[in-house]
Amino acid sequence: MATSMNGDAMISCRDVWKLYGPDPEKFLTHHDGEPSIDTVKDAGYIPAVVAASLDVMPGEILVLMGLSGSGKSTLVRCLSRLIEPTSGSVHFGGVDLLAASGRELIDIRRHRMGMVFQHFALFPHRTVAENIVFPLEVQGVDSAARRARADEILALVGLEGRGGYYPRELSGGQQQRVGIGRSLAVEPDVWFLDEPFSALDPLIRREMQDEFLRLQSVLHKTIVFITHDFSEAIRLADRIAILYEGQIVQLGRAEDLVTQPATDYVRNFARDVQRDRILTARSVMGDVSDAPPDAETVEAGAVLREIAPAVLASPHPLVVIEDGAAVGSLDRDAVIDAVWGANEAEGTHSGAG
Amino acid sequence: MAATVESAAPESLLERFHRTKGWRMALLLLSPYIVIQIIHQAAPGLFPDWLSKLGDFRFLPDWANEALLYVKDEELLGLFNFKDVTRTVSGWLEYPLDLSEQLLISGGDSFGWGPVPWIVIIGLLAGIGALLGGWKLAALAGACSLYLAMFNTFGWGAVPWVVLVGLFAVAGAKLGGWRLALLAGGCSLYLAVFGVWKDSMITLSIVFVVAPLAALIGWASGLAAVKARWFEALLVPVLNVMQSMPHFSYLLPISVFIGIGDEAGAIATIMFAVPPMARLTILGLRSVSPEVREAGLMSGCTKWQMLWRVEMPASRPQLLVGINQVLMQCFGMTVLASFVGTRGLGLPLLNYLQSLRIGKALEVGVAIVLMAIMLDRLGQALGARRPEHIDMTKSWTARHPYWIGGSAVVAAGIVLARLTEYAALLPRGGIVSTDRLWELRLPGTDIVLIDGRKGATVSTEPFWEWMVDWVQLNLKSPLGHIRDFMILEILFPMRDAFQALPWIGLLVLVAAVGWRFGGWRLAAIVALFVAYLAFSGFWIESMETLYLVVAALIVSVVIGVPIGIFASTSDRRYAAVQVILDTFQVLPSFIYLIPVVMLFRVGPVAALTAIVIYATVPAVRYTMLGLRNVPADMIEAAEMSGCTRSQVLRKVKFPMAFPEIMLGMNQVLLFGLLLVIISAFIGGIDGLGDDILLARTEQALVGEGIVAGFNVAVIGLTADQLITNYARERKAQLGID
Ligand SMILES: Nc1ncnc2c1ncn2[C@@H]1O[C@H](COP(=O)(O)OP(=O)(O)OP(=O)(O)O)[C@@H](O)[C@H]1O
Ligand SMILES: [Mg+2]
Repeated sequence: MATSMNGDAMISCRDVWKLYGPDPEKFLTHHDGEPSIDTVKDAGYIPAVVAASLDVMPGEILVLMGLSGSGKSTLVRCLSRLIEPTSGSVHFGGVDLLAASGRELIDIRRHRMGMVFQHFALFPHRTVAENIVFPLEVQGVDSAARRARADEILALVGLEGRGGYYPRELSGGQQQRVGIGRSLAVEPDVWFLDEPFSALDPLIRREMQDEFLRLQSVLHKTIVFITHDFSEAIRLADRIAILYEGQIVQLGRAEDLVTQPATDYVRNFARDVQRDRILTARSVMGDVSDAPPDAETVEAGAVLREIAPAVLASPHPLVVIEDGAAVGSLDRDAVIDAVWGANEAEGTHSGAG
Repeated sequence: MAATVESAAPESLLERFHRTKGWRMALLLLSPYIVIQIIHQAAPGLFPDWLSKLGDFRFLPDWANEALLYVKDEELLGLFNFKDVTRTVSGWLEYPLDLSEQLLISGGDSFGWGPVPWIVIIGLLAGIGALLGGWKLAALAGACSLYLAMFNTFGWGAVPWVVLVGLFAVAGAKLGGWRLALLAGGCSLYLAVFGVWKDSMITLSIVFVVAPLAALIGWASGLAAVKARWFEALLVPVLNVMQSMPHFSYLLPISVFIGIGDEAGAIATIMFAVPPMARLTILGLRSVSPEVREAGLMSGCTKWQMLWRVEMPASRPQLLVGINQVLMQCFGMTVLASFVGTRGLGLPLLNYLQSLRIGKALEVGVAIVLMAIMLDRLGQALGARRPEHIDMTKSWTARHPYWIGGSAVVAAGIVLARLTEYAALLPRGGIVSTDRLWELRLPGTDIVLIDGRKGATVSTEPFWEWMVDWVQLNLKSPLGHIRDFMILEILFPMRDAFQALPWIGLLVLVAAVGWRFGGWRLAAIVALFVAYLAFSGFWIESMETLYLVVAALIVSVVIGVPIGIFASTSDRRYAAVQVILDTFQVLPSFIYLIPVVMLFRVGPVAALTAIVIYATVPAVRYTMLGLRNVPADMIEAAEMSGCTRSQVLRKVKFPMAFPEIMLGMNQVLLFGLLLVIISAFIGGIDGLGDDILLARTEQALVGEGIVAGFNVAVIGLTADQLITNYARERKAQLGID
């Protein structure tokens, strides 16, 4: 199961386990490091993370998804070693994180990691500005430099003029901006976000997502983002990992999850999604020979929502092109089928179940 | 019932036992005890005497005596003499106690700065202040030391009383607005005007020294417990025992090792106030949310930074609650420490009570009450404060009104004190002359309410005396009848019944209940407790105490539960009663004796009444709490099912609240046990309190006193173990937290 580390990855973990219970190390070795989930449960252990392996590439946004208790938070905390994994290996920027000494770990956290928390985790006794530059303060950065940095960050997260306020004097959305600001204070390479917007109202959540995308377009961080909201995942993710009872059941692009769900659990997540926003021409196109050679063209990477009007209006199939070359064809039925047909199939499926 | 159908396998006896409820269960648990009683009554020949009473077993008190003497006089491990150690510690306390007293009341020059120029010391203190808390603390430390230097160098006296009253008012204004300013200013003004200024300042000067020390020790041990498992395992049981020990158990050993006086009281007070601080520190540090801790870790905190910059400040609200508790415990204990000769407000109260000068006692009592309320409200307001941003566009003066106000008060007060002696020092002991200069009468009568005497102080004694006379005159015979009836028809029969209990019977009963609610472990623990009581040599006295407390418990419940029910039915009532209860709770227990002595003089009914007044507070509180915590949807469900209001109360609210109410009973018992000893002071009751009180004056009886104090703790612990286990199980069943 365990393959070698990916050298290019920013974060790379292999076969990470986290079990809760009495002496879990012994239990794991006893079962040669790979007990079945049932063995684990029968023995009374809680499988929080089970044999997780993944790579996060530089500049990528990887979203972890799953129901409550599926182990998302635990996995992320293993990646930052806030929680000590029971077994497995974690490499961070090429460094073996689990072998790092306490001092090295502090150094890595001080310079290379940032984290945003679900309930903001602001320090109640510090002002907004003091919260934001706290990571600099513990490094011993002098106060003039801290003040300058605080002003920069306050501007970046849109909280100018609020530096002297205390967290409890701010709204939820503003508090999370402070949390985001604090996690960015040291310009980390990697940004962990554990359900950063879950505690916010839907409208503010949407606004914060936009804000997040705007920041990322400027900052280009490597990001591990947790959510249990599939539409949020789709908006933000380059790739999505779906967790179930501690296992990564599928890891891929949103489109892959929708078109080829590995299990019913994944299918259920994808059920309510607006498929026309996710599916691209590439994933539903037919044989290139079906289209008349002089037909209009659509890009293979375009989502159906954008090209549907053209396809539906055309009496014949259109040509799908990629890098200027024709790679397939797209007709009305294929689009209708892809967007609405699957829902029916799913309805039958769940009706039978 | 579905469960019985499902489980086809025959139920084991144990399972069936655990399903039994209500009176059947009570009967089951009582049955072994009843059997023992029957044998005991019907066939005395079968029942050996030693299973019934172990009265002559006096080895524990003797051991305690010898151990004390040994520790006191011999070299421990050949290294040091324990008494020397305690004397040294009390020697250390002497200096700060002196200093603080001189600053607040006596003025004086008995402490020298030695060769170090005072300017250096001021700089040093201000510097430490600046390091710890920025410029504000630096200014405060600087100002205080400057003042000290002044009264040494230029012969200034103690801080003028006008300054202190003003400062209390300013502190009140800063912490809680004009209402608190009025309260704090008014209370301290009462102390000044009614001739108790000196005594109250002595009390305050002791509190100012012991409260920070106790808070520091408690905080440090709480911190150590959080950081080291083994230390916690060690500390928590000690805290449990310490907190269930009555105040007096602290005073006794202290009086042996330190003797009597202010230092003895100070040390007992510190020991008494440490446990709640340690507990709240542990609680506070534990309650820092894991996310906040993780945020600290992800920011790259070292362990040390984590503690000082994240955990400590984030648990500040709990720490402040702890500090307020320390303050109040210290105040109460300092007053009570008058029993070992500590000066302050307690000593005159004690003397007046003993000489039955009720009017004077009441006047001092009011002072104690006002001071307690003032300190408590100030402390609470401090704890409730949350940081707020400062509007930097305002001018410096607008941002610091209270600092400026405080400084102005100090300056004006000092100038005033230079100008007129009346603003500087109130005469020692308040009233120095017996000549009345003026008096205030109740209009149209010749009843004197207040009289003014030489020294600018006035006294309300005439008013109180008049009230006491009135009570004596008009209520004496009805109260006497009540008292006689209670004693003859209720209390004495009850006492005899308790004392006739064979100890083995109680042991079996307690063990059975323990087994039901906590398995073999609990059964063994509580059985051990009862066995200890039987062998302690104080079985009869323990039963005497127990009967009085149980009688008080019954009365408290009869009074308290209905009040609690009534108060829980509306938000306004709830809030009002809450305030009253909070106020009652901060008063030193000593106070409760005054009205009781006034009504019943001495004897068991007086003691009972004092305990009842004191113990009704938790009965009301917990009933209210339990009823208020019943989930609203559950009540709605009951109402939608067509329950009448009384049905809702009987069938839903009360059963749901019952575990909480039982926890209230537990508190009532513990409160009652604490007061039973103080009540012994009223006299006329035997029991453990008596032994403890005797030990205070009789060195040879100290061992007895300590064992008796320990018995009180053991009775409390037994009840506590049983009730908390029951409540935990029942709450889990009901699914409430
Ligand atoms: N300290 C712990 N001790 C025991 N079990 C734990 C502990 N921490 C987590 N778990 C268990 O591990 C599992 C995974 O928890 P985790 O917090 O990672 O879930 P999650 O996916 O983040 O859920 P949520 O969406 O609710 O945050 C859960 O079953 C949880 O009960
Ligand atoms: Mg989580």
